Amino acid sequence: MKKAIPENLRVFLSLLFLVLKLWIIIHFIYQGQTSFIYQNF
Amino acid sequence: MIHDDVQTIFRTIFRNPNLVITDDMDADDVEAWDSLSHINMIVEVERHFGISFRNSEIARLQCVGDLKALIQKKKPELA
Amino acid sequence: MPMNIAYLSQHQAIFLNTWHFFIFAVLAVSLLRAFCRGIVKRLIVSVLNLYFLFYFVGDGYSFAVLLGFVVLTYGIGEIRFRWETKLPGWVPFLLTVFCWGFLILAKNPNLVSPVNVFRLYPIRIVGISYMVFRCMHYMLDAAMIEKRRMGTLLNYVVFFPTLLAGPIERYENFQAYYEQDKLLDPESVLPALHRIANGVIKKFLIADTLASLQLCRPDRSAELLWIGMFLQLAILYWDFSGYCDIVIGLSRLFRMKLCENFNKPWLARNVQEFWERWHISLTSLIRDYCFNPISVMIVRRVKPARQFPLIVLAYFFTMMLIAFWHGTTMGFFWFGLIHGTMLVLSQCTKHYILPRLGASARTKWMDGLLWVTFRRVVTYAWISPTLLLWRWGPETTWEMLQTMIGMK
Repeated sequence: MKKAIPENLRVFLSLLFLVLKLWIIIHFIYQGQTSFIYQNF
Repeated sequence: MIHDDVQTIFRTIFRNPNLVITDDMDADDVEAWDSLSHINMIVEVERHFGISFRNSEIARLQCVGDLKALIQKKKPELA
Repeated sequence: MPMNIAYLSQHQAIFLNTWHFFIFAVLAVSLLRAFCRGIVKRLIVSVLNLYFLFYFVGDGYSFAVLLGFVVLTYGIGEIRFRWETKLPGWVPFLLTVFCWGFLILAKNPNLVSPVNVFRLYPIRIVGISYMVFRCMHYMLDAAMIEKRRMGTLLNYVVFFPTLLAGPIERYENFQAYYEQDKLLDPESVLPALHRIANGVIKKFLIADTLASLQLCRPDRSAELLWIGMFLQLAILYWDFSGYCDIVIGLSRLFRMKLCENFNKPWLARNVQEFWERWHISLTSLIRDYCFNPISVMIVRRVKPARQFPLIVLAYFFTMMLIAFWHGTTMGFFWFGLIHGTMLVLSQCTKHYILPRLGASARTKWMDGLLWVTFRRVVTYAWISPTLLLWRWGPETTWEMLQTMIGMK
């Protein structure tokens, strides 16, 4: 069995990935009218 | 008693003679358990124990434990 | 059906990717985390629901109809709880028909126009299909629901995270959060934030960008149509499951655990499995309250030898219901017809062919990775094109198919 990742490191990495995702979202989000197919159900 | 009878019914309906049921078992755990065999199983349980389920009772069954509890509720004399 | 979209674009509703929604969500989460108990929480949930509802209900009349429908649902629930044993057995059947009738007539005011009151007085409520289904679930289950309160029911039907497009939560799960102050999902802030971020990426980055290319349009070339047709299901998955991720993640932030709506639908090996993995909150409701009662009645009353054809019919009927829940135009009718037929074929295979194969052949052959992968690809490949019918209807879909195989 591999040694488990320390809790602190796990949280740190998780936060890092979250920031990365937010960066992607802020940079690439499509600003125009969205389709939102489901609203008419 | 309920446990063993239910297990026998499960083995017949789901065509698996080695099936061992547990309380937290649900449809994801048994290969042949789909919407149709579910109905067959329910009606077989009804026949075997001489009880009848209401539709809202059937809708609430999440796992084998729920089914056993419901049978127990309908047939309190069975231990 | 496009009525709601046209209406929304005039009205500037809160979309999930606007600052308006972002501020609303931050406010909602902070308030519900700070006041997570008792009457204060209930008051906050009610106010948030009302605020959100205001943007998605067209006018006072529509609001009144909605309110009336929920009050009626509550009343029926009380009657059923008190006099369950005295009521005749066809009452649940009647209630199911009533809800479906209301939904289908309200969604399409032009249907049976001479007697359809919604032709003269159309209601404009986004998410009406979800609301009516929550009410149907409550009416049918009321005899088993211990704690029934009008306020809880009202807030359940219009609960703001699930208002627009589900998931269709069961009443008691909402009640456990709303009335009993249960923290259904303790300590999961970071996973919840990830879930929301994933949802935003799936919905607004991937799905909307791909959808904006409009590959599936009657005026497109055959090549683009081929690509677009097979991309449709993926786009729809990213769109809808992304939306669900945002909603589920958001609810988790105030420690409410909503039910999951998708279970890796691309792993489905046939149409039946697909509908067990896709939009689960809807299909499980239709299974519990439409398919199960019918098939239980068949299995109880009909001789085993004659059961199968009737059960197959019940499957077909259920598939038509799922199609009509989505919409009432001809496109949805054909969609139901195709999916229903495939469902019938897959049941016949299970019933007639599989038992003859023998257990060893089944495990060796049917469950082999190659064969399973093949079935998964085929399932995806025929379901994706059927989505053309939703948007374009049968005639245009037929023309597009002709373009694709070079007949036009």
